[in-house]
Parts: sequence; structure tokens; C-alpha cells
Amino acid sequence: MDQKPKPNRYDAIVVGTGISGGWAAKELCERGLSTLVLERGRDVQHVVDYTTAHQAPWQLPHGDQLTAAERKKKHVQIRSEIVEPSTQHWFVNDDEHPYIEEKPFDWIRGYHVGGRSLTWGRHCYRWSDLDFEANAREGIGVDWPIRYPELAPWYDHVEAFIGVSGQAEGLSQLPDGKFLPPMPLNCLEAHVAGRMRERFSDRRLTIGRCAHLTQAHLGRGQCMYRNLCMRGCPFGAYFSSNAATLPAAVVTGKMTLRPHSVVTEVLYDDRAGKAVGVRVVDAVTKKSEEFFARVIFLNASTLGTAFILLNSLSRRFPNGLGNDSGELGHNLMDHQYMTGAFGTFAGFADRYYSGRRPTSAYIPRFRNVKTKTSRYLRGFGYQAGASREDWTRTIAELTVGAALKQALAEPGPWRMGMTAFGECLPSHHNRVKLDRDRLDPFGLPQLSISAAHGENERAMRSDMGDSAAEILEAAGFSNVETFDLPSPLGSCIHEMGTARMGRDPKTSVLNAHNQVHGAPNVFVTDGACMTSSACQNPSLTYMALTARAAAFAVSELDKGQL
Amino acid sequence: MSRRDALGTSARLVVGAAIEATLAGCRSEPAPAAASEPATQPAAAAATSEPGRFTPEQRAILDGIVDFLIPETTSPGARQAEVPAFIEGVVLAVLDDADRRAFCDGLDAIAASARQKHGLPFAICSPAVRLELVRSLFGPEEATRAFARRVRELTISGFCKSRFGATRVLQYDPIPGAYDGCRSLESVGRAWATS
Repeated sequence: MDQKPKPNRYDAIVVGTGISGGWAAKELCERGLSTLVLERGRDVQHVVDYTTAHQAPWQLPHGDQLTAAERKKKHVQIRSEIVEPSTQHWFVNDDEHPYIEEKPFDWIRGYHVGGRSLTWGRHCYRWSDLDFEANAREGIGVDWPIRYPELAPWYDHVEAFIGVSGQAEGLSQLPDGKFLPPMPLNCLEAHVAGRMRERFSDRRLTIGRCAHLTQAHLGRGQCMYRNLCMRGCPFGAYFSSNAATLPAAVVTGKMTLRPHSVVTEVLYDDRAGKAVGVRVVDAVTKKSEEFFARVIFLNASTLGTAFILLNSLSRRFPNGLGNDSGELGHNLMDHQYMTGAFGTFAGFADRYYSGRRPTSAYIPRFRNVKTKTSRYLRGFGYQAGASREDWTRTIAELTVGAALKQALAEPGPWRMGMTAFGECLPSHHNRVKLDRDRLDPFGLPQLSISAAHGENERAMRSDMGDSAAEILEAAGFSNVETFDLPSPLGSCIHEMGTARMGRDPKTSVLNAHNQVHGAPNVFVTDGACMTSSACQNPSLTYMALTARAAAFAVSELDKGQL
Repeated sequence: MSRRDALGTSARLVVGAAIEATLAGCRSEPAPAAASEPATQPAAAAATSEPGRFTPEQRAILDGIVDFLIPETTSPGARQAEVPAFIEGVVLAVLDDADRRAFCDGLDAIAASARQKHGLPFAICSPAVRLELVRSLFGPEEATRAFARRVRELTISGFCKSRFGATRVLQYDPIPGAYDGCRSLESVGRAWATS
């Protein structure tokens, strides 16, 4: 490694501090590399900068509702329905970050240290070979160049550090992890779990496997069951870069964190035949600066990384870094969701709960696991939760006066809702490109997105609602209704693909170690690397791929290969 | 002017100003965009510091409505919980233009009803008359249904998010520390204010 640091020169550069970037920073620093970590947004210090974390409902403006003017500023972000005064500082002002929707696409994001690791849903599910083998078996897209046994030790490694609570279930399609004690199901969820075991041999309800600590872990505190996670946790009880991986990188003394650093391109030296660094535009001064390193990790999030690669032009790579195949920017995916069912349950009138559990229950995929359905490929899982109706139910009622006050103080009937998350097949037609005629406030070309769910997603969709209704009816619910709301790409906030891993440089952008084909010292380990989408929440897989790739990068450096 | 005075000493001021009042206030531009720092004081303070947004007559009507829906009993009611100020803030800053106009029209329809049926501004009508005017809002009339639903929604949510509502009528635990998914309702007592 470098003995005498030259200005702007490091062993490694990591672009992005979100859920995968924080991991790249930690792993590279812990293995001794001087690492420049570039974040395009402002710094966010753990706890100190969680400005709304302790505000009671009456301390938030307008009952935590955005004003009309605020909604206008975040006119795309509010499509997610998670942007409120208590969280709006984690989401971009859309006019500052324009993009082009050739077809509807909800690009939900925040630019700050920690990225969406502060606002994610914390669900952590492993993939299995059912997922990794699917493309090859079905002739869809390209084959993943890895299988579960190669990734399993890295799932172990990541779970052991971040802390994942959950219940081992022995299901082949959802491998068990190294779990902290599970959070409890409530009465009705436990009842439904039992009825499902009786009525459906292949369907299981389990507690959400989530990156929440149910006991103290590596210096972070356990969950206090406030369910205000999205404001940032003052106890460090859920995993974020800010709470866990970045502090681990800081402790090594090897990390240099540079916020307000917009990476515009990877610098490829045509004479040397290798990538040598990145160009940064300072978000405050707008000045351009170059930084150099032997290894570069792109973790700018799926579309952020796609932008950087597409904007990195050289004689070797005239169509974007690593784009010999023509697949760069293509095969964009996002889970389909916003469909499922809900119903009312007449029992457990004398039962209630205390504490606010920050995770739901989960029903792993059961379609096309043991038996194939002829109607579509792949499958879907559900996030499910039961609760007693709260005071909002009285809005549609007619009681007034003292009787209304009485009704407010009583919990309503038990209800359960189930929302499905369905796999999205990769399609070359679902793609992003740069529009050099339309520039953003930095003078950079806007990303132009054309993507939509296809035939397989449509064929799957009605089953997502119907199967949920079937489960609720079997468990004794009444007034069971399905729902089906618009779910354009981006709305599930699991956008992935555009720089897929594959065995063949002619049909993929990355190899089995997440190295860019033709530029082996550039690694992509965020959502852009994904070759298929499965139906499981993807962040755990991004983290595992990142840790694996970082270890590989360092061993290659040690062997003089990079 | 304290909002609780609206029905008392300032009532006479309302008589002369009645006509101008319905032309101004609630239909004006929305309140300025909120400051970028998160609010640390109760939401009510921002709304009542803007004079002339809701007219005194509109405020009197709103007071009457929230008091009818959620009165003071052995626990505080919506007026004690400053729900009228909450509603005013939401109507002026949160609702979009069409919904804000519809809400203001709804208040003004009650004001007009008071004058037409009783020849007096709402605030000067007797308590029994004011009660009847408010109660009829929540009756079977189709014309007022949408406004009735909206003001009911705002009253209930404003109350349940207020300190009084969330802690004295409902329950609020800022740091539960644990989750028990199946305990007796009796051991919990009142419904939770938040989830």
C-alpha cells in the first residue's frame, strides 16, 4: 500500500455512503486501505443530526403533515407516502434533481451521508439458489455467475455485524440466517400462522427478519419499540451506515469522508489501460476536482451508479465504462407491489398489545417453489400485519360528543393487511440513458428512464391479491377485500439492475466478483449489479455482495493483480 | 385576542364587521411556507400568530363545531386541546386550494344560515341556537355532507394528535422499551394514540 500519501491519492475510493457504500468503506478500511469515501450530499452525524427523533405528535407541524408548498418541493418524493415533516429532510427537493420519465418512474431518494440506509424498511431476507438459478433454468436474461453457497458466508458475515432478528423456519426458498431473538407476533398474527400450517402445507407466516437489535449488540442499543425509525434512531437500534458501518470505518483511522462530492465520472486512462480515479464536482463550490485510487467501488445506488458508468467515456469505452456488451443501463427492475388483501377478525376482543413493533410479519414465497403454476414464472412474498383499528376508524362513523370520546379511548376490531412484493423479470427494453440535451443544475445530462412491468408481472398480479384473500378467509376473517393500486417502477424503492453481473462479457457488465468487465479495478456492488430481482427485499444481498467483493479486491491488490 | 374570547367580549365587534369578514380571511392566500427547521413549539402557535386568516366569525363557528364533536367532559375536549387552531393551520397551509375554498365555504354557509334563520351573526345567537346550527351540519343534508366529513376528520385527528387528546383520552408512551403482542385489554386500559 502507499507509504507516503500524495494529495488526492488513496488506496481506494468508495462512491456513496448508503447501505452498500458504508459496507465498502468499512471492509476496505478494516483491511488496511486508505479509503476516500465520497458522498454527494451533506454529512449526517449519528444521533446528533436526527433532529426529529424525539418529537411527540403534538410537537410536529400540522399533525406531521406537509404544507402545500412543501409538497410541491418534493412532488415526486411524496408519491412514496413516507415523506412528512418528521422525515422530509431525508428526501431530495425534486426540482434540484430532475430526471426524465419516458414512462412513469418514481425515483425516491435522499442525498446525505447514510442515504436510504436511514429510511429503509429494514427487512432482511436471504436469497437461495431458487433465485440464483432461475434465469438459467428459464432462459430469462443471463445466468447469475454465482450461487448461494458462495454468498452464504458473506450473508453470515453481514448479519453478524448488523444484527438481524428473526425466527429460523427451515425453508429452502428463504435460508435461515444468524439471527438475534425474534420480535414477537401478536395474538392475531400467531393465530393466522397456526391456521396457515393447518390449511396450507406450503405457506408459512413468520415474524419479519429485520435489521433491528433485540438485544445489545457490538456497542449499539436494543430496539425501544417506538417505531419512529425513519427519523433516525437515537439508540442505534436499527442498522444504518451512520449507526454502524461508517463508525467502524472511522475507528480504523483509514477513512477520509468527503460529503458534498458529486462524482460525475470514473477516470479511465486510455494509455495506461486502466481506471485511475474519479472526477468530483463539489456540490457547494461547483468546482471540479480529480481523485485517484488503485481500486474504485461504485455504490452510488442503482441509478446513481448507472449515471456514472454511462457518463464515463473514453477511447476504450466510448459507450460508457464497461459497456462492451451494450447492456449498460439496461435490464432495470423493481418489485411490483401495492396489491394484496385485508380483512376484519371478530375474535381476541379482550386482547391488545403494548409497544410499537417496527417490523411486520412475513409470508415467504410459496409459488413456483415445490410446484409450478402454469400462469407465470417466479413468485411473491407478503409483508403482513395485524392490529386493532385505532382512532382513525371513528372518522367515518357518526358518534359525537361524550360517546365519540369514549369510542376514541377504545381500540376497534382486529384487522390484518397483507401487501405482496413480486419478482420483476429483467428486460432489455427497461433501460436508462443519458439525455445530453437536458441538463440538471450541475450541468450534467439528465437520466432518462423508460421502464414498465411486463407480461409475467401482469400474469402474477391477480394471484398476489387472490392468494392473500384466500389466506385471510381460511383463517376466519370477514369482510375480506383485495386491493390493487398503481405500482410503477420505482414505487417499491427496490430499483435494481443496469449493470448486471454475468458469466459472459458480451452480455453483462460485471463478472462474478462484481468487477467491471475490462476494468477490473472498478467494482459495482449496489443495486445496479443485480441480474434478477427475486422477490425478497434486496439490501441484505447488496451488503453481502459488497463485503465479498471488498475482500476479493484487497486480495487481488495484495497479489499485484490490480 | 384569545380564541376563547370570540364568543364573549369581542362578539359585538363581529356584528359590524360581518359583511367584510366573509369576503376576507379564509379565502386569502395560504399561510407562508413553514420554516425549514422542524417546529419545536406546538403547531397552534404558528396559526394564531397570523391575524385575520380565519375571521372571528369563522373561528366562533369552528369553536362551536369542535366543542360539539369532542366536548370537555371529565377530560379535556377539543377546544381545550386547541384543535381549532390546529384546524385553521391545516386548512390554510396544508390543504390544496380547492379543499381550502370548500372548507371556508362550509364555515360561511353556517354563518349565512345563522343570519337567514335567526337574523343574527353566529356568535351572538343563543347557545341553544348555536348548538342547533352545528348539529344540523351533521344531519342528513346532502349539501353539507362533504364539509361535515372534512371538519369531523380534522377535529378528530387534531384532537388525537394533541397533547391532551393523546395523553389524557388516549395513551402515549414515548419510549415503550418492549413489545408485548398479546396482553389483556384490561391491563393496557385506553387505546394507544400512535402506532
